[in-house]
Amino acid sequence: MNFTYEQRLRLMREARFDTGAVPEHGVMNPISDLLVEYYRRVARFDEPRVARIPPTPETLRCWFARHLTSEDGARIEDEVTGLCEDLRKCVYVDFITMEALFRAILLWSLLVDRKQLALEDDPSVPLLSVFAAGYSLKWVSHGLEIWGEVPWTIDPSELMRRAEVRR
Amino acid sequence: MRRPESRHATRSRFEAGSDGAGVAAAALRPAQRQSSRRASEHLDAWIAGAPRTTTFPAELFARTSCPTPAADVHDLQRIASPQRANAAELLVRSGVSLRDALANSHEQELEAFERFIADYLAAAAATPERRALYEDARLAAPALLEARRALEDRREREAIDRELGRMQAEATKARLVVRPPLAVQQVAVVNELAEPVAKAVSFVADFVPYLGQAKLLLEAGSGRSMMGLGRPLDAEERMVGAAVVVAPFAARILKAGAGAAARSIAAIATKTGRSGPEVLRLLQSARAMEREGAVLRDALERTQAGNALTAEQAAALGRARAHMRQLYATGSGLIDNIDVAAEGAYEAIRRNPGDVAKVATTMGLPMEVVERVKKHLFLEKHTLSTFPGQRPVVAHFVAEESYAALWTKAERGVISPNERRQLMDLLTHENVEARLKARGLALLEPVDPKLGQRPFRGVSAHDLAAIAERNFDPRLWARVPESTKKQNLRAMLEAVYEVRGPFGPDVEQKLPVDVRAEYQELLRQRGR
Repeated sequence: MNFTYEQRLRLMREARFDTGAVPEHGVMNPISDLLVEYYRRVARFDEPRVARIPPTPETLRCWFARHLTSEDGARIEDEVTGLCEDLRKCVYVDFITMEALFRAILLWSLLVDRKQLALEDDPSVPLLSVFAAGYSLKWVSHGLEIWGEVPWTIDPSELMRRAEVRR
Repeated sequence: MRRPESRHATRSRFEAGSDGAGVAAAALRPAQRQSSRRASEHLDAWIAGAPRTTTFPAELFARTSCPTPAADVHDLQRIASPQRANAAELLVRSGVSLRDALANSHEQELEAFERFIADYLAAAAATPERRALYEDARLAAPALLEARRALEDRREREAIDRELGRMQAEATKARLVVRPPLAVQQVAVVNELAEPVAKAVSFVADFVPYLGQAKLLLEAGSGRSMMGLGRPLDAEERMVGAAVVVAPFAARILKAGAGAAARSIAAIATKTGRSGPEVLRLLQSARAMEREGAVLRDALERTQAGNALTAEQAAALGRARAHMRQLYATGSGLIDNIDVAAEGAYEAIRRNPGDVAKVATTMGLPMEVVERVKKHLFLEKHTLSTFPGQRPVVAHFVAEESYAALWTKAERGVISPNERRQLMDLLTHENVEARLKARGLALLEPVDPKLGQRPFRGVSAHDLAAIAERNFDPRLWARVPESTKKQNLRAMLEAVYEVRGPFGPDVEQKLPVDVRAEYQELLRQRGR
């Protein structure tokens, strides 16, 4: 069972972001479990800004610089542009957050394909599962908004508390 | 709540194939049917079947910051590595950007890294034909430095944490766990931040007798002038003053090596009632502020004299605030939800009086709209409801790097089409939110303690702005109470119109009936 760059790309392209249901509880539910897993994984190399859902452009630039060629960078940017165009068809997405996440996911995916990043350490896996379930994410000043059929907000520091316990 | 069968229908496209999308969807589906099982367990089960690759190298990524340089840039860097004395000048003359120039400097010492940036800026400033490089470097340098310093701080924390653990300081650390959680992203009351520094450093002075001058911090704690003038100090002065006095002691403690630093920190922690990691962060924050001590002191003097700050001073002040905010721990310990570089960028925007006209020109919007958005997004403090068990706080919005970047690019007139669309979405949201807030609506609803989340009820300014931003999507609009619709629909439509202009025919066609009727009335009144 291999989850390749192309398959991830297809998942993001085909995801129905507007369809996820609001779980019964904001903190203890499968979606926040996946987000905890995301935080846990991303914390290993983005610790200073871990409570923010997308890695910052600065962090991404680190990864570009260290591991990817300019061709990789151009390819990812092309894919991200295409994904954002597709995303415009959805009603309930935040383009700023999602564009950053798409970029990060494609970047991690290339690293996984090249065996520079172990799949069990890949932060994009839980995020893709969130997308596949019909949710998109938006970082907001007062928490983390999760958009499905309707949005709801959770406290990322609450998720982080759980992620820290598991680390 | 959505019914399970409709969810399955939604995901049938993923499940049809045997590709990764189907796998991911299948991984989640059982977890949603049986919410008692953690979704991550299913995910783990799925991952277990996949081929393992090399172990994740923890230190692999967070080295330095730069985009992928082109091949010729690589060649240049080999010739002119930043370690060489004239490297900065050579790279500037060759047209290599600061980010590219730092691409191969991962193993460089922090001090050399900082020196290289300073050299590069000086070289670029002295080369008029490389003005664009200078401007680019000037904007990029704070974030590059912050990222690098954060990495150094993290390594230091890890080393000292190990020592603290070895010294059985766990009992001290444990105190944090029982402290009531604090939504870090909402703590912006600056005058609360001087106190922990003053308190801790008065202990430093007791703990290390020759540091008597640290008693100056009592002034900071008491809010009177440290210079003996007795003039009441504002919160910012207290904060910066306190940290600047702490800094030399902090640097001395931290420089002593992990073992010695851990012993000092444990002693301070015991006396202050704070945890070891918390004291460590306090010292690191003070040290970070001292790096910009000269700029900060100058900024304070200018403020006291009633003079405007330069962009550099404003950004330094913003970063200082962000560092100090990090002193507050959440229930889980120290969580950095504050982006220091972004806070600096926000502060520079706050202190920049000339950006509104430029952003308005770039975006083709009326000045008063951009002015309103700037006031709402960057300048004003808001009463924000918080999470269960927390009181509302009055605070600026927490700085978001991407928002600051969009704004700054619009000011400079270098915004791409995609960024323009993103900024238009942001301006629309903020304009609606600002107008509704001015009408007395609460910005946010409080979190429902039973649910542990802030549900969407469609009554707060933020929720209604989200609806307007999404062209009054019928599913969301249906959730808004009738009374709220009646009172606020016109204001929402006007705010959207101010930014986006008239709806396109396809969008207008999809508007809910009552929204379309009100919109047509709005157009009629505007003579369209």
